[in-house]
Amino acid sequence: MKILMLTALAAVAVSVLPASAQDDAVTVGFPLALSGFVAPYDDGPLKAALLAIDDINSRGGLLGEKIISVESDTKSDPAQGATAATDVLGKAAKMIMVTCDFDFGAPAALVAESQNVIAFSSCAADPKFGVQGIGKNAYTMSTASISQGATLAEWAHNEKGFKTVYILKDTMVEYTKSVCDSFEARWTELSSAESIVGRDTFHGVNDTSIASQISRIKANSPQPDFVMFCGAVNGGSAVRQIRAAGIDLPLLSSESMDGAYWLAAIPNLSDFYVAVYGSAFGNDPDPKVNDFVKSFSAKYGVAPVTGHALTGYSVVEAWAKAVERAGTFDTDAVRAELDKFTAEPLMVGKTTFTPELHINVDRPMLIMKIVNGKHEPIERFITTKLPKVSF
Amino acid sequence: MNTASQHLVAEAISVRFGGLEALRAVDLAIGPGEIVGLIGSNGAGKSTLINVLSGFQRPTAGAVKLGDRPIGGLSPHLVARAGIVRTFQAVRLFQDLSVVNNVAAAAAALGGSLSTANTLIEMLGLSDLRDQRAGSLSYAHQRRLAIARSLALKPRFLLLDEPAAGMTPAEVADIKAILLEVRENTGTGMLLVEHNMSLVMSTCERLVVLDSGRVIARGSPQAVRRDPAVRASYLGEVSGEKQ
Amino acid sequence: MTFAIQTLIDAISVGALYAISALGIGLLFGIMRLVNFAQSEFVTVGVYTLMMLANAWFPLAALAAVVVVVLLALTVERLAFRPVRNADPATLLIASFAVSYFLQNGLVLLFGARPIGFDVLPGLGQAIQVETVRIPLLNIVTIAATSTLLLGVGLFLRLTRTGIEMRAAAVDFRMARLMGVKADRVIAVGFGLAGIMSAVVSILYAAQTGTASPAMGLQLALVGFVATVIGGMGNLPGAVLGGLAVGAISVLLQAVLPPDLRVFREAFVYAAVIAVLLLRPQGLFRSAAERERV
Repeated sequence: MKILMLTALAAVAVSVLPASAQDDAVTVGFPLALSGFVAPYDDGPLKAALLAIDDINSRGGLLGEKIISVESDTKSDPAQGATAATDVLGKAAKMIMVTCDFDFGAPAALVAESQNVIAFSSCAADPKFGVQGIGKNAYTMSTASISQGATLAEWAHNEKGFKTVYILKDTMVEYTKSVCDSFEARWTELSSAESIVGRDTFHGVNDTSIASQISRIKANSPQPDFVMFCGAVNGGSAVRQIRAAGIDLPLLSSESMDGAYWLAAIPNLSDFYVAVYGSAFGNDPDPKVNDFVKSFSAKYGVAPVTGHALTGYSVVEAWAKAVERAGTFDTDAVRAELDKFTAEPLMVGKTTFTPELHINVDRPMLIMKIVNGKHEPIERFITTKLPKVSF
Repeated sequence: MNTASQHLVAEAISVRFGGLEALRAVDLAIGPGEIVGLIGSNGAGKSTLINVLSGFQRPTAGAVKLGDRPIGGLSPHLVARAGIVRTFQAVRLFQDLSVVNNVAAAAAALGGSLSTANTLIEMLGLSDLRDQRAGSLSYAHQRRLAIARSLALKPRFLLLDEPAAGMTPAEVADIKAILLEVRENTGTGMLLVEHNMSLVMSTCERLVVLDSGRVIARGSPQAVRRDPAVRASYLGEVSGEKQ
Repeated sequence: MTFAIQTLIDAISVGALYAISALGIGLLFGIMRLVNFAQSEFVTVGVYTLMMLANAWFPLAALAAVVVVVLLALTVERLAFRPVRNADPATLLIASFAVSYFLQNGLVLLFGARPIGFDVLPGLGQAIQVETVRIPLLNIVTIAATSTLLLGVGLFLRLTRTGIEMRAAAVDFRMARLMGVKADRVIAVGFGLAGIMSAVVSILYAAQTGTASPAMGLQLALVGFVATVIGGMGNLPGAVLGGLAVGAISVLLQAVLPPDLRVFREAFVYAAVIAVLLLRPQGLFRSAAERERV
């Protein structure tokens, strides 16, 4: 009996040996924030990426090899990013997925670059995450923040017919500043500078209250048709304060306000629009996305918190497609295939890469409307005039 | 516990700071209700001895006892709780508190009431200043308040570090009257460290004279005044130093 | 005109929250020269308690927040600060950072780092309309709660035995100990009071933001500390006025600065703080005469 148990244990031990020990397997590395302050933003994309690996393995793997994953925790510390990347690359990772943010993801990507391994950020929305900022092996699956801002401007102007806007910008992170600035640039082209009837800034963490900003909106004459709200962390707090002050104007925001986790702060929130990668609520116009949400829920017991999970799925999806086309795991060959992607239909949407641009600027976002605390999809939309990318 | 028979006793106290000998084999005893003067030139070791008695300084050798109870190793606040309370040259009042609250803060610790505080303030002649901020009092009043505050702890022995420093002769006379009244009312024993010789000579039953950390004379004020060693080392110096 | 009055109300209500924060920090600093950055987490833990009890009867949830935060404050005092009580202020400061870091990461471990939305006291979202000015009930409640709390603490410190002992300890801790004031008790009461104040802040803050996030208390503690410094270290009314001033100045700057400069509002606030420290190192609300004696 004892011997039997030992044998069983040995068998288990063999089956969990690291990837590099198996000849018929290829490893994907995840040096991500598994703990700490950035962890929530990596959680969804990581789970989705693992789901993508499951899907590929169930179809027989990649080039006949099973994909296995190795994870290493950056502990939400940019300095630990390099260590975590070295860790997974040491376990023979052929591709790594890094944190959904330029500052937190870049250190790991730089290590991969130095070892000529492809590094995808799930959703860093800064165009610097690519050839110009890191190197030729760095990609991000996000839609650039500058496209998001321009898209919201064009949608509000052309589709909603809004005439005047008030811009409220969170200055804590680059992302929201970039969204609001590109919004303003595109809005001014479509309409006029005068139609921006007011603008103000707040700080998502340092401002314990945005009372002053709210009083300014209320005192603004004329009242705008809507408020462009570039908020991120603690955005729910700001929206609660805005609505509590009796400002019922439509609010527009970008994917940083995706998800329902903050909605309990504003019961029955309405007239709130948000441009997201895809619906995490099972009501996406694209049935493929709903199937994804279903299998995600089946595997993890809960639906993804936000649509950002789609970017993680598509990181594995994109790399696998490129590997299959290249017929090899060789980085240079795979990169050449990735750079040929033109409106490639991925889970996260149509995706294009070029040898110069490793971020998407023309992928439609799903505009959703929150009505009585529920997300309803409206349509996928992208600005017709692509913003000029600067690094 | 028979408090009447309990003396505060320092036995063969020596204190050395590195190679410097601040006190050497000093003996001192104060009985209940007794006022003992401790005099000596600057640097003679008076402050060090008060520090030893009040627990601020641990002696290198020797023992401090309250009756039979050794209190040498106790920290200052426990010494105070045992009934040996000191005042400071620098007074150290609770500047931001009113006169009455300075006393009340100390009285509260013993479960004393506000009326205890009021009684003490009256005894020290501070009733008119009851609600003034302690920091705004005159120097002489601050020193009186420090004594009132110490008395709130119902001390058995009071160690007074230059209570009359910087006072006018009239104020010194007041202090003397107060000390005698306190002794009369409470039976508190006192150690009076003071440069004002007229106060010391007229208030104390016994004097102890320190010089370079050693006791060079002890006895009644009259005897000490006549002591040749004291005259040589201290009194001459004092009369030259103080006006 | 409406904007001016509205802004003034905003200024007082933001300042009020900072004032309670500053009083908590100032109280402990006065007694034990401790700059308690962990007060940040006292507030945060209060908010998470309310979040978990968002569906409970509000008075019960509020009571729970007070109890939890006070117990936390007392525990922190007993386990973290008592062992280093006699250390120098720098050591105490580092200990408070350690406690703050520990509690914050504990919250991340338990609840994750993502902010969690919840709804308490939704009724406070309503407003009273006076002429053209709209005064949110939350502002009125904040100002009323702050006034009550400040008055209550003020009376406690002036009229009760323990309060008088605490004030004595705040002026000269060692002397107070010599005068029989029991250090353990006074410090524990100080932490208890800081806990009550943090809990009240957490209730008001939760009603305002409807959001629980692990680092949300940091800014309040930081402003509380700055307010204590400009108010005069160890001077409690000064700390309260300092808190009020920092809050009011932030709001007023946000209201009057042109858009391009608003981003640098905090820089202006802290430049003002530095100016205060250079011109009046004893603090704004402490007279030179008072300082002379120290």
